[in-house]
Amino acid sequence: MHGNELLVRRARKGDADAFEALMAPHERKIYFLCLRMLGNREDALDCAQEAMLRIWRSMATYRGEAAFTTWMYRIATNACLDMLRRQKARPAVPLETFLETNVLASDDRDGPVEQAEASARKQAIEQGLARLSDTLRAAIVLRDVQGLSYEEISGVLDTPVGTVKSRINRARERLREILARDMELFATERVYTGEGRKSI
Amino acid sequence: MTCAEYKQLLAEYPDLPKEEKEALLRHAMQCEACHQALMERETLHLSLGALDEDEAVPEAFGTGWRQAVREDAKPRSSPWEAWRGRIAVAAALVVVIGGTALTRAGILFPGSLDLAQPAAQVETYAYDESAIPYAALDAAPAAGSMAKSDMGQEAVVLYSASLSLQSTQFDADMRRIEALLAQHGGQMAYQSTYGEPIANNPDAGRYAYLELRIPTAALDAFLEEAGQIGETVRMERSVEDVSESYYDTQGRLDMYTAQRDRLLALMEEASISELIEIEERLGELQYTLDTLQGRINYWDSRAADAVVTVSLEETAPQGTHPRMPLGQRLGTALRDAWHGFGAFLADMLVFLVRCLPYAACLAVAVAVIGMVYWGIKRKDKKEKK
Repeated sequence: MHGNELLVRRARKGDADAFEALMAPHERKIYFLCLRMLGNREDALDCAQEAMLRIWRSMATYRGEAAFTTWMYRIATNACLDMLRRQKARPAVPLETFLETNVLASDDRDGPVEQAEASARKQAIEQGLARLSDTLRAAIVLRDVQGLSYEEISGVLDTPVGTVKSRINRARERLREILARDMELFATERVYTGEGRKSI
Repeated sequence: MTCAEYKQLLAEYPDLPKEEKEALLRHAMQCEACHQALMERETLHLSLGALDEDEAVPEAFGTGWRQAVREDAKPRSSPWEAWRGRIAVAAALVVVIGGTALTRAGILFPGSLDLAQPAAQVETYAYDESAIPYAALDAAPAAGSMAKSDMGQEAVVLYSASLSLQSTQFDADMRRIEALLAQHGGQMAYQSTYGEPIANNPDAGRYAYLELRIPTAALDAFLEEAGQIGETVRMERSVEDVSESYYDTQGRLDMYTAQRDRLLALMEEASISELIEIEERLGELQYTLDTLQGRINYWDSRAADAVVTVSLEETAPQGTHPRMPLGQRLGTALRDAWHGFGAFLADMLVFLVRCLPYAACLAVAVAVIGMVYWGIKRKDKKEKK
């Protein structure tokens, strides 16, 4: 990752262009981390921009002890947790909003019923995530949504790996309990992804 | 595997190792309920993983953070940031220049610089330790100014003074001096005037030298009034006690006078040859007596009257500078300014050197405070993290 190291070095010196090139591949991850943590797009937009700005301003302090992505996620996660602490209420996402904006790009072979099921599934997950505590939500989003490893999550949350595993398990169990009444949405043998079908 | 064990393992699905996952699947194929639970878990896991796949990042986010970073990367243009350096330089200049001016005025570090001497100096000194204030002397001018010496004899003291004056009204001030002289019963012993009046030649100016004899009792009053003529540049007084010499000379005079009288008495009864010898001896004695008497007379005269020398220099009135050519005036102004600037810089260097110990102490204090402050700030940062 020689090119990345060069960008990091330049960004640490205050080169905004280098920082932009460095963060462009990660901006999507940052945004969706904030979206899944905060549960609504407005707050996610504010939080994600705040997170990017914090990462930029903290570049001079990055010493390379941890991987850049781990360090970056740590700042973004802390930004999300800070914003959650400042908020008094976590509004539930209206169904209509998700039906309008969160339509899965389903396979052409999927019919309207399957598309509606996928959309409902997604909405249910989002509402379930919103009902988790901040710490459990952070653990499950980083693991199951963002795909970080246990070690990476340990670095992001500054928590031992064992604690991370425990939180993730509890978060999954809790999410399952929240979604219990909607479990028929998750009982199908066909699971829709953006690219195709996957059988269990 | 039992269903209870299965449920326990299922809690860690899908992060199980490969063998345990296969064991799970084998059990699920045999148990409908466990199979259902596994499907739910798997679906949930895959749904979570696909949550953001088809989502688009809002364009506002992309442009927003880029713009925010560029704004933050710009040099700070707050008025304080822009002027901080200039204010610091201005403050340093005020301290250095102000400190130098105070040092030159003698308010700060008095005695550090070689400050200008006052225009007029009044010096009073005596040649020996027994200087007698003339005011205590008998005011009989004919007999001279006598006072009792330590040996019970009247002291013989000679008074002298010197006065240097500058005048913008030369003729008028000369007349004032002459009037003062007459008023106090003095006499002009010597006068010399030379030079061209300033009115005729701005580069010239007259100069007068006067030697005056003032009765000793009136010396103080004369000097006080004469010091108010024109501008006093210098005034000196001297006192010389010649009592010892005077009475020694007087004693010798008396002795030789007695000798002379004895020789004159011997002449009445002397032979021709003795007369010649006595005549020769009388001649020598007379010469000695005349010399001694002359000295006594001089001292008597000097003790009665003080000798005052007055110099009077004609100067141009203030504000009416001599009409030098413009080029000459500019050159003089430039030269004076350069010398003045050089003197100021030299004084500034002295001021800075005098400030060094204080600056060193201040620097140490600032360094210590700074280290404590940054230490606390770093600690706070760590605690926040």
